[in-house]
Amino acid sequence: MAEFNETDQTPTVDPKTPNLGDSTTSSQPKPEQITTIDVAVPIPDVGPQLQVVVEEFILKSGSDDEEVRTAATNELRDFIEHEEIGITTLLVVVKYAHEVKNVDLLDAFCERVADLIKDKKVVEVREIFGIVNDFTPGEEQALRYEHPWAFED
Amino acid sequence: MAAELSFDVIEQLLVRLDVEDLIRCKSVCKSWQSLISCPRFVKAHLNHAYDNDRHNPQLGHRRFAMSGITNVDDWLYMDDTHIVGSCDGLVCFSPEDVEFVVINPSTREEKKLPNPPFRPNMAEIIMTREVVCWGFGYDSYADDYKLVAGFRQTYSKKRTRFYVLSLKSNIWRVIGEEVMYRCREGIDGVLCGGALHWFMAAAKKKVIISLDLSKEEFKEISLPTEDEGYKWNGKHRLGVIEECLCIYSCRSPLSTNKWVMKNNKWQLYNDHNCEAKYDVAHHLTGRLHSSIHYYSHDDGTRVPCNGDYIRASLFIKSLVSPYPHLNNYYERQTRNTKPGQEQEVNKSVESSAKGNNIRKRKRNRCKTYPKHKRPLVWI
Repeated sequence: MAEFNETDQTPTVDPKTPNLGDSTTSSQPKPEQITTIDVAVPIPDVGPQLQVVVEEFILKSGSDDEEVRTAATNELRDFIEHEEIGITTLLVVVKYAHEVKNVDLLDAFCERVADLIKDKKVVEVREIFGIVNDFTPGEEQALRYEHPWAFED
Repeated sequence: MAAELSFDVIEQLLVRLDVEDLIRCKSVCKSWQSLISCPRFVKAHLNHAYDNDRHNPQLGHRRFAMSGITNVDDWLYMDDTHIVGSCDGLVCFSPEDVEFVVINPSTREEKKLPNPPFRPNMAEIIMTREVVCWGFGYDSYADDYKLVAGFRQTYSKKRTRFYVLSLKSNIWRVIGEEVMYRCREGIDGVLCGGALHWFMAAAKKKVIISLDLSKEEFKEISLPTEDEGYKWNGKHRLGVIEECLCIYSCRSPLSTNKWVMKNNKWQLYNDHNCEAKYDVAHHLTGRLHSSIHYYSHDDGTRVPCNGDYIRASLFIKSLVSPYPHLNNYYERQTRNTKPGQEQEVNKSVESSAKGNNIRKRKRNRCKTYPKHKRPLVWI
């Protein structure tokens, strides 16, 4: 498991970083590579286990080998599903992935959030995202009237 | 904290949802409603759906069809609901004769289109569909969806006159001059590469005619030659495989003798991979409630890849509306109740179509008009 030395200003990689098992990249990513993936931006508090998984994924997603990236994505997806991570935490990572512009990370977590809000009722979605309803009752009724079948239970 | 998500991020999430979920999400708050309704999001959602399907290695194509699809043109026996074509999630069908309706079965929006201004010689034919060929597709220049219908005066006549209706304009107009071809089998145009294709005959030659929907220009595509090992027979039809135009036999579609056009060349299609793949066919379902038709589709059935459904149009679940520039439900409703206005315009197209012989001479002088920008109504 890669561990980050949080007292350092410049991020380095622990020598125990697992070998990515690929001959085209060195097992230890060069420091320039790390700063471009931008793990220098700290991941917000999502719990130690998820934090480590996300960091590892970010490293692997920078790999040149497509197989490595695919394997990492599948692993991440399985992990997220298996651990039943809550939507609030998922959204934290989504926001983070967007900020650091990691497309694969964003993809994986967005998929999961989409799976969780699928088939949810309007009030449930509002609660999850902390959104206040700004429609008047009349406006909301009109919207439902457009496609009544979508709101049947 | 979740409320701090930027619209970019929310769009990333919403683009992955099904149409039904998105319809509900419009009710979450005004900014979500605005985001989901805007044309940019509709396109992003459409493209994401296409990408998803393309990246599914087991999926051949997603298609739309009538339930109980038959391979043979059955217009001789039934003047019944017939699917004209489907594009970007919009489906155009003809409930009977040459009436047309465009629906999005995923959002269940419907739009009845005006009848084309064509009157065949009813003394010599049984029903108009005998002398019709048609198709539905997308014009990328105009960002508009078009219904095309070609008519012959009688079954034996050799020329076809084509009309087009775009969803934004909602009126019919003539495309170019009459073409010296006639369509006998396979009246549904096959949409591929932004053009509609039909098998047509001219004199004794069999050929494929393509109509580019943006330029509204006809082009002849030769069939594969006998040297290449191809022999046309009356059972051949056009379809789409791997997003390419294909010729296959409607009697035995699963037989391996299929021809595909890649890079403007015909080649025999190798469908060894077919057993590992499947197509998904969505069937039109409908119900009548208080004399209003509601159309929808089923969840999709897995069918053999490149089999009976080769001719069925490609389909995707999308938010695309049959009312392209009307965002508001009430605007759409009031638009529907003004049939008189639309019929007036169509009458003038019809009367100008009758006086063809005179008009042809005048048209020759108007060389400054590019074909696709001709005035909508001939004076």
